[in-house]
Amino acid sequence: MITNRLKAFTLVFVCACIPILNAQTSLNPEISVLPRFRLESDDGGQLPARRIFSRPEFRIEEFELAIQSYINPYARADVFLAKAGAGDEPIEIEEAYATFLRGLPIGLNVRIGKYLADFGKLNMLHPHAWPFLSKPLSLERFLGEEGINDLGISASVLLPTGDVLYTRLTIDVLRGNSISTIDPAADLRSGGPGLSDTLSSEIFYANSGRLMMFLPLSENSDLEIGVSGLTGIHDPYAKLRFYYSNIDFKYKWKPSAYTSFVLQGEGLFNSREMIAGPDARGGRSLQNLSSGGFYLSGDLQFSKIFSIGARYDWSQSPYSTTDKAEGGAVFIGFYPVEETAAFRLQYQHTRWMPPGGETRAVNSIALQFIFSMGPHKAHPF
Amino acid sequence: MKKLMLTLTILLGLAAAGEAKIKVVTSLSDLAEFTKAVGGDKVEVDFLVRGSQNPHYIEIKPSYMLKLKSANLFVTIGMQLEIWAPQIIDGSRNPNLIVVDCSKNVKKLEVPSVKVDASMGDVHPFGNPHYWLDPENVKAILQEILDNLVKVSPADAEYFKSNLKAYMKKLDAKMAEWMLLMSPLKGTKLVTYHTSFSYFVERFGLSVVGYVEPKPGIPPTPSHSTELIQLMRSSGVKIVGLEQYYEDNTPGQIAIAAGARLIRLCTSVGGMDGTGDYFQLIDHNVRAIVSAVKGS
Repeated sequence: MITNRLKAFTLVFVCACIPILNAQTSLNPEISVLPRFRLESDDGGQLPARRIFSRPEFRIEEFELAIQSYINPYARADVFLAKAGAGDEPIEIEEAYATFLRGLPIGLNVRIGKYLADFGKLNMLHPHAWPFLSKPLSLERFLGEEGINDLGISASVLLPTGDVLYTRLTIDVLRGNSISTIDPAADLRSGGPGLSDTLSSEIFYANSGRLMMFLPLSENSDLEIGVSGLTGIHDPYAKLRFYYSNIDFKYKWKPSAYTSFVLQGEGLFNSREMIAGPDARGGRSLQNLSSGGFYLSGDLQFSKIFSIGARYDWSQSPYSTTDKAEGGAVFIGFYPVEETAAFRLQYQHTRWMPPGGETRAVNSIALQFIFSMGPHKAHPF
Repeated sequence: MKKLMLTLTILLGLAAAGEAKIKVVTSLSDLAEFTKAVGGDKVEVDFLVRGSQNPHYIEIKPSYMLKLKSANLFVTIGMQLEIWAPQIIDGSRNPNLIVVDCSKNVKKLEVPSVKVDASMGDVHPFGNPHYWLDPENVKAILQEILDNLVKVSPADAEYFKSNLKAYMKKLDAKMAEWMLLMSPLKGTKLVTYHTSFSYFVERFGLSVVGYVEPKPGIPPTPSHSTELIQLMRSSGVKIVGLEQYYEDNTPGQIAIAAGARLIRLCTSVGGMDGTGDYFQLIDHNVRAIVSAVKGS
């Protein structure tokens, strides 16, 4: 009796599932693959007197898999898996988040998951969408190699600033352990690398936000300006806090389909609590350290398939005003067919000026090849 | 006194509500004209893609999202011409936006019969989307716009219908004129840069024998250009039609090598001087082809 019931139930269940399975075939998410390959040589390992470029290294810079789809009429989900190199490097969840686009009051959009926070202009962009090959020094030193890429929840709203000026406010509450800038002193205290990337099991939430304004200047030119802030704990043992503020801008002039000029820059200001050295009585006190950095880049597209650009970087360290670095890069982009395949060549010169130490300069030449398969969406302005 | 103030406030409110226009944003300038023709003074129309721009490649700007934020209707060509539109629609945060696909009742050309992939270039999986360049297809577009305007404002249905009839009458008159001009040219062969004029040439009995692009959306290559020149010579093609937004270097060289004329054709209202409305746009294309044939 039970067996017959079970058979009948199974039959009904299978029959009920057939239309669902058929429907699922048209509900497959959009899948895109975006590998980046790099051939690079530098003279960083040589003595100053004998500067010879190293044997070029050819490697997979990153392999990105994007899986994107609406999950219901109100929300969409985006998952980006990434793997660096062709060896045993682990596959990482670069981003995985759901965005609730509709159905919330005052046009609120809410994003939940692991994502690149809306901080500055470049943090949210994946490297394949940059015009250059390397991250600007200021962002690398203050935000770490991966940028602000954290678990969190984000809410954004469009502010009522008229029919011409687009203004968006985004507020994030982040888990607070994504930034992995290197502080030698913190290394000594924690025995591990990084700041918030700590061995501590305690979670210190971080908050970030960005106010972004977009203004069309003419039929052919637009300007975007952003102001961002981030605060969190950078030393979990002493519970020391840091505050970042950032201003960014992007100006684009596009008089024709194959001609455009983009001028873009960001300035980041850091204020952080630090433990001062022992005073006369051997005690320690808190002091505030302020430092910063910026980059400015220009990129000119002069034909359908070629672009050329340059960038200047200057940055202090998050922990020292005397630890400085500056650099410049020139880059050429070649898009032989469409934007589905790109070659980019970059020469970069970087000078590291540690406090009390010898200035070290590195020159590098890199050739990057990117291709994309699938419908990965174009990046907004 | 209080009663008078209250009555005045209500009357002013009603007057303002009565004047509220249906806000429509269209993807192309052509659709803006069609919407204005049907909606008359009951609609406020704006568009995203200027006539001089290639509608396939549009940068996703926040200002476009802002335009859609308070719109009632977003009128599109559909058939994945506006592949960039979903991001703008999502970014508009407008839950009440009605997206109108004008291709619904259009007889579609070049619908792929096999699975489309990138090796074929930028082939649109639902067929060639440049249907608005056939003036007869404008009637289906107008009807789709009418149906959706009526959805938003049923009380104005008769007004919209009367506007539609007036525009169609003008269109029919112009169509007769264009057919007269083009009828001696039936069977004329030409080459175009992209597959933009498939519907136009079908309507007027012309024939496109090749494209400057080796495949849709793919820039010309030397080997393809050589093959195209040979094909043009052997087929007696004397016209290379170039859309307003493409560079003329390669098409110009092909035209010279094949002994043909390079003419600029226009795909959208406002794309070139003298194409300020749809009638001028088709006028321009018809007269450019007629002059090229006469000249050759």
